[in-house]
Amino acid sequence: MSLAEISTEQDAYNFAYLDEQTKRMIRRAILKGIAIPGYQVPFAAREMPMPYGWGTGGVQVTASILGPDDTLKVIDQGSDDTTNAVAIRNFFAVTSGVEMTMKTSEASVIQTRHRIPEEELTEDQTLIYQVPIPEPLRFLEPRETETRKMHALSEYGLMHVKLYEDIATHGHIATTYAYPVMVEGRYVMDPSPTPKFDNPKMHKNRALQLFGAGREKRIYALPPFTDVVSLDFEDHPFQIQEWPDTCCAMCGAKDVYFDEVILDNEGSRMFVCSDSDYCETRQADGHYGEMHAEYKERIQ
Amino acid sequence: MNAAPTYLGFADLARDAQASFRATMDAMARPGTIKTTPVPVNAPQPLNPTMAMLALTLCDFDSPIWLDDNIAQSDAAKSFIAFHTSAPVTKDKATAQFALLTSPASIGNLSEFAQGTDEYPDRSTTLIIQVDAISNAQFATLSGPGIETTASLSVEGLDETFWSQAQRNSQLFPRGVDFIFVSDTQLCCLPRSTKINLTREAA
Repeated sequence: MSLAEISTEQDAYNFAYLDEQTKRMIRRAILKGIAIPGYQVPFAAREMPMPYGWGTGGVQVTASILGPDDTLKVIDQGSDDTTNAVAIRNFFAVTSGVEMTMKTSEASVIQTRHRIPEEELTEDQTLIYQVPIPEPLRFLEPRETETRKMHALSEYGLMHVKLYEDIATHGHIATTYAYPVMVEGRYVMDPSPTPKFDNPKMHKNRALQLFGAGREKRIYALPPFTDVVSLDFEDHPFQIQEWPDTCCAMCGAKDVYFDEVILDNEGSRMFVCSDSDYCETRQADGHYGEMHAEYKERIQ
Repeated sequence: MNAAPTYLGFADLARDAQASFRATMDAMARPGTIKTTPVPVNAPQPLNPTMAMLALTLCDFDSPIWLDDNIAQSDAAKSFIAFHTSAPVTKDKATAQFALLTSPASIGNLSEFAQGTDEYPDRSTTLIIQVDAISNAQFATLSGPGIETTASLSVEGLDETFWSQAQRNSQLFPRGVDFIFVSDTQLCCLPRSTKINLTREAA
């Protein structure tokens, strides 16, 4: 018998970092969240080896559902390459060893901060949101006892007053991210700080959507095909942002969510897709924007 | 060697529990979808392998469980559950987070189980019920979150009393209980959010 065979040194971490009891507790909360779409289920969030605000809620949900057969994608503001996404990807690479991908279509589990991929999701995917403040009414009513009662009674007049005040002050609803949604006509829910551009993608999405808030210790969920309606008024219907004269400088895409990139001190700027995988896939397929090297070549 | 059976539970705790939970989560997210039991767990009578798997996946010292008479009268089953989960057993249905039932007949009055409150609808019982067979035969038509248009579900052993109780249960939304049906090899979920239409009279 070789040394390797008789060596029974334990793994440094349990699979996907969390201990099994914690996973069971989170899994019970996830099942309740799925059974009551839009309701924030309290759970005993653990301290994670990263600060609050860096996706500890999303990480705990991901750790509790992730299995060896999964392929994980992590995005931060649409991009696979930004700090938060890289850190979390490394965390799961070390603690779970699952396969990682940057391609939306290849992922079975996607953890996201503040964006929904442009590419349509499928039944076989689960999208996990990192949520800072899960309570949509929190900035209107700081007391948990009161917001809980408002949810219990489905009493959301205050939220409509807030949106109305937007109209009174600005002439339109000025909320552009974390735009409140009504789930199955019952619970008003915070879609996390995604741009309102993404709200329509939540409606009847084919993928299961899970939301984890670590500091605030809440989990909530949207099963596939759930009705998710952005709050609005008959005379001020909900509208997503539009940039009619803008297309991505790298891939030429229109009708996507853009990042603005400042290029110099003279104020020149470019707009690129916020969803990095979407942009790269389009470029690989031969779509070029005006600042892409291939585009310039083609023009000449 | 002693031939007394040993019931080892999950061979690989983390991975087996994950596979089991993932199937259950996907089933709960898509009511009426039937999943094959990913990790059947050998357990003493009257527990079936899917029930045993779910008990090990979901229950622990933090989740009081209620057992129906068939399980409560089996010392082997009770000690299996106690050894593998440490879940406290409660005789009061209203305090149970999970109820383990060997047959739909032992449900009794559904409203005796914890229904949650308006403020905390999550403080409710999840009923895990052993059944002989689950199929997508046209019996109950399901609709609601997790279902694109409609889904059909037929569960052997569920009578008219059950379905009318289940219909009342979904009217309580967001309060109410959730169901997981388990046969020897399959599982299927019916959360409170699902609306139930009976397409055929119960047999």
